[in-house]
Amino acid sequence: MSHRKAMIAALLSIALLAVVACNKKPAETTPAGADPTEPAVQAVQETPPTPAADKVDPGAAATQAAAEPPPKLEGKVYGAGVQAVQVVQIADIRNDPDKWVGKKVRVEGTVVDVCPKRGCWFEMSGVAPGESMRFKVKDGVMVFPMSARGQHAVAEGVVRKIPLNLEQTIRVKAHEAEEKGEKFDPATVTEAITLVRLDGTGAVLRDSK
Amino acid sequence: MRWRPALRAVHRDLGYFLTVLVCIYSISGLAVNHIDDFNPNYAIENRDIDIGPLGDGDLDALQATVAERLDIDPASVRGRHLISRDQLRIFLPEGGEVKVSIATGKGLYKDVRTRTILFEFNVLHLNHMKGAWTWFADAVAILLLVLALTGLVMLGGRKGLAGRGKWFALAGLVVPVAFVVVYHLQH
Repeated sequence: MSHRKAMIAALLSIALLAVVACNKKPAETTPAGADPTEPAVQAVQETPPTPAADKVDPGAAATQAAAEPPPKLEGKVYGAGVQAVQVVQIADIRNDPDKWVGKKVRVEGTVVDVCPKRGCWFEMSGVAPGESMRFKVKDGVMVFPMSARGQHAVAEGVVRKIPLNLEQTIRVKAHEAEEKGEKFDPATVTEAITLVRLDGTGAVLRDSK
Repeated sequence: MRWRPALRAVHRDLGYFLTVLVCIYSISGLAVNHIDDFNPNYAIENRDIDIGPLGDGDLDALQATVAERLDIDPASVRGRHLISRDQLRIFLPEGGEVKVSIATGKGLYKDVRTRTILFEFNVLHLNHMKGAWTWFADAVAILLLVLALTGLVMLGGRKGLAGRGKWFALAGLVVPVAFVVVYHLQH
């Protein structure tokens, strides 16, 4: 075979690989069964408040997660998807973060914000007004599109608590405002905050709960 | 064996094959290099709104009122979120939103538009798809190495690496080395 023929054959092989690669179903897929005709407005459903009896014990959650097989959820899968069974309410983590720090949990909620530049985090709403929790991943590990806002998220990760001083709080708020293209006045920040977030391992996002 | 003509042929044909990919990676690279000043994926426009008090009613009614007053197709609303007792957000396609005070009707309309082509370039460049694209991108990276190395040695004589080529190659080496030295001096 002449050099030119060999070269053409090599390039065609690469092109073929590209076509196969592009047609291959990626890891982040929407499994069959998801109803695309379902009205988008159903994306938000008001979850009833957690009764006291449903309060979750962190140790029990971990045990149950290990004992039962992971449920198969419909929706677009990110990262490792979801493995644990026990759902923890955002309010439970918010009310007593120290109880959950370092533990892997699964939470559910509506996606109310997404990192607009890198797609490296999303914010999930809880049951009560204003209640939310951030799901954060390293840049590029999972990338969430802006169009995820309004979708229902089932997300897993390790609870992390990051106390900030006032200067750090202002920097964080300024950065968030800059990312969102919103105005920010540092004078409006008068108290330091403590970030409580999920360091994400996987998530499933779908239009309806 | 006359290896230089063979290298030139390899270099030329690889160049043809890689042209589009190099353009994609370069354009996306320019965009994400300036991510602090420019959102390479979305054009986001904020504008103040005043649609009047939303009145009483449950969340469905409030959402419908906002959609009606802003002439938004109700079917396009993707969801809502009550930020506080007075602040309501409704989510629109592509990541847009309306954030409005229930009591006053004043708020913010955030219009989000995905940057066509540039978004797709970034998806490829930053490997959002993972999986098979990772393998293809690895192959492209190796081919780019081959392209660079064949380019170095495909010409002999005065215009080759032994001639003036070495000075260009040296210039290309000096710049990154200088920046690395500066980096280490600063850290």
